[in-house]
Amino acid sequence: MISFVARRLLLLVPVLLGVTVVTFTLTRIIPGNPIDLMVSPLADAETRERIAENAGLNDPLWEQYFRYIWGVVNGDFGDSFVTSQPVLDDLTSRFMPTFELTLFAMLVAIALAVPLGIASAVWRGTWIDHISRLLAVFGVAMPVFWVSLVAIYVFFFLLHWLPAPQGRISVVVAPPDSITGLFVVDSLLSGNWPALRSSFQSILMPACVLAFAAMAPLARMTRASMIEALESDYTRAARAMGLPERSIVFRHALRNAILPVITMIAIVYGYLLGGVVLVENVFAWPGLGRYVYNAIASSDYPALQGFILYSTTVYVLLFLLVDILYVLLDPRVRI
Amino acid sequence: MRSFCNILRRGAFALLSGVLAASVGAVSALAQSDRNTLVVAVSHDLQNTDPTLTSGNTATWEFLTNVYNWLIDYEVVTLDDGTQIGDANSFVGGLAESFEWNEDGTTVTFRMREGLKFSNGDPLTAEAVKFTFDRIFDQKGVTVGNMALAEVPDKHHVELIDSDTIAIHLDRANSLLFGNMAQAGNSILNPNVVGPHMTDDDPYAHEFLKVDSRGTEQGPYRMESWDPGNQYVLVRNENFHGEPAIIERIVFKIIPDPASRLAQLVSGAVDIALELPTIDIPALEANPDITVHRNTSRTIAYIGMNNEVAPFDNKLVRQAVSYAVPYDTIIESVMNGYAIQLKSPIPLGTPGHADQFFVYEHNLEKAKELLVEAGHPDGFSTVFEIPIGNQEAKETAVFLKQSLAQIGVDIQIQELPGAAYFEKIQKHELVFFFTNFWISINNDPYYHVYWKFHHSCCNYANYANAEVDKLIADNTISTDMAAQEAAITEIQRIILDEAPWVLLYQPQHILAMRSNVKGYVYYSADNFTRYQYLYIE
Repeated sequence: MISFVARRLLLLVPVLLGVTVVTFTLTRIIPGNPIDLMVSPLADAETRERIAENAGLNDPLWEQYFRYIWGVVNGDFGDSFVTSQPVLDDLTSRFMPTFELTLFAMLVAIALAVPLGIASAVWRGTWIDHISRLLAVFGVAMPVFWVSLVAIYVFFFLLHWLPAPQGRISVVVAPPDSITGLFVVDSLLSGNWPALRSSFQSILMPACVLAFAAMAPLARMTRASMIEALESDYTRAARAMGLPERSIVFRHALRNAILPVITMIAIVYGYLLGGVVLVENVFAWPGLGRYVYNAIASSDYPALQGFILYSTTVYVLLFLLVDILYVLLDPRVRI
Repeated sequence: MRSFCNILRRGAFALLSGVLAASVGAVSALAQSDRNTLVVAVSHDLQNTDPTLTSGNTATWEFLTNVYNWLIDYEVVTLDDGTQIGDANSFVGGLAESFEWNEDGTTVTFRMREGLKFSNGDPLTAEAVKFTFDRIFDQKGVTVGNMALAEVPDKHHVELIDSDTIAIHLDRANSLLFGNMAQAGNSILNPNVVGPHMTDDDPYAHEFLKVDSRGTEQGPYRMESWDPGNQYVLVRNENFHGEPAIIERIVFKIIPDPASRLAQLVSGAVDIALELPTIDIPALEANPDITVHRNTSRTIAYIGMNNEVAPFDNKLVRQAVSYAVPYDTIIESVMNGYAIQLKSPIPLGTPGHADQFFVYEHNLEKAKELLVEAGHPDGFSTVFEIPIGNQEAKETAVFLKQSLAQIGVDIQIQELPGAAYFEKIQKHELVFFFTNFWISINNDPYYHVYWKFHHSCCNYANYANAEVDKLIADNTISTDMAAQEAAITEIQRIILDEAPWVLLYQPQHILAMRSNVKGYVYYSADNFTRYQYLYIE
């Protein structure tokens, strides 16, 4: 097991190297010169030239590339052209907000989608199955930013149930002391009830909106794989042996059906990291999605490269985790 | 089977009630009841806060305008109807108590106020002014181009006389110097704070100033904190020399989505929301809880036609396009009426503005005739380039496409990402394009035409006319006001005939705030809000 994990982690190195080559080349092929956004229109050509020179943009590409790699190895991802801060600081400070939001969204999605999927497999063709299908269609078909706006309109603007979409915590509440970086968890750990209340209320709406979009594929996958399991020979055998239905569904069918669902969870989580940009924008959530959106619009090379390196790492680690879970859940898989 | 059903039911019920329990009682949406804190919804974050070499980002400029101060400042005047505005053409002492021109207008001497302090308590003297201007010229900050235009070519023209007195010498007398001085580019910096950050690698302490201003501010506010991507907070600077700011603390919350900014303003979760779509303004004006301040700005929106690239190198083609544009529709539908038609390249509100030469109206017959005369009886096709995410540009493009199609001109609308758009516009590589970001802060007609039609910097449409060039060159640096006035009228006549741009509109500067926020003063020089005057009733 340990050697497997070590091997996979070692493989991360060539993957990341490959990614740096591709992103480095791509970001520089895209038209647009970051300098023109960094200085005022009145700055003269000489000033622009000097800034480009200082940012190392005039050196040959391979030289820029090796300087970049050397920096990354030493923990220096360069400074963002837009925020003027070191990219690593930018990514770190924005990672936790995004992680917290997507984690909550994923938990809500799993908590709703898996039972729904099981139910619609067990009672196939009944009203619960139809509702589940309908929800799935809506979840996929409705643009997430639109759902966000409707949610804000209804729950904040009309009903006043939830606070203004001002990010992770209300502007009048001080954030909790940083322990994990997750506001809800931190305020719980430090017993800071006003912060807990505000941060929980703040995350509820964006997390549910994201969960709504993420639910559909999970519920459908759970349903399909449960149906397959319920129609399999071992289920028939179990039924023939007179086992109670509850035990058949949960102990036999679900254990077999859950493996593809876990893969799906990993895929959906990856998708959430991408889809979160729209939700972050609407809810003023200071996370990575908004950061990378701005980076793309302003050709912020260091920020883009840093973000892609980061998300590659997350993907690879996510699927490593899935593989490990497979081993734990499925005795047939050996590594 | 039944028990499984029960489990599911119970589970779903528990979850649902948990969510409801958490949200009920969460009515604390209306958080703003504090008179000492103002919450402002802004669309984007700060970016590079070095006052002398900042970007064109409006959030950053407004921030700098509120934390820094200058030798002179705009005078606040009261109009006939009692409203107060910052006059872009009238100056009073700022950090300098007074200033005096010598007889031939080539030297201006500033006498500093007594007891001036930076936000960290350090004394502010004329030495700091000299330090600031030395750094500006060494760094080649953005304002250097403006100083050079006003015949102040280098740092030796800024003379330290004593701790209370500083003089600026002009090579030739002109009226352009003050127009840019009450701006961030001339912010007086604290040598004790900035000096230690000047190193061999970074001789101008740019790396420090681009992310921090603490200790070197001397304006009505100072930076309390900046949480990038989330919010930045200003707090009253108790060491400010002028009338102290009324509101103690301002939280600038970054809320990128306009619909979200609007909803929060209407509900009272924020006190001011910036950059709202014009389509939402009528509803806000009808809302008694909201005050909408509208002022016609000098910002110009126009369609540039690259005068060096076919078919736009032909004056008749440019005129034809000018006749084909549906001006009224654009103002009514794109700007929802919150703009006036631009009828001269020099906007209304700038001295010397003359609109009697504007002949273009929406006349497709005339446009077709001109196209035939220009040798394009069947029209032509071209690409119309606009910056991505610019709603005004996008909607204008749609109306333009419709109209031009009727005279046989087929345009393909292309949205460019911000960086690509600005790279191409700076290199004058755009052929047919929309722009609406320019405002001549220095409210002088020659300053305006110098940059827009004469200097290589910002003449994005590559307009060239020997006569106009000569008129600009002869009159920009001059004290002969009669000659200047005659020449600026002639310049407008020629340019309007040659139609290098399709003139579109001057938008209103719109600022929406809760009705209990009072005291707003509009500054036409730059449209930026000076928060020091605002108070909450």
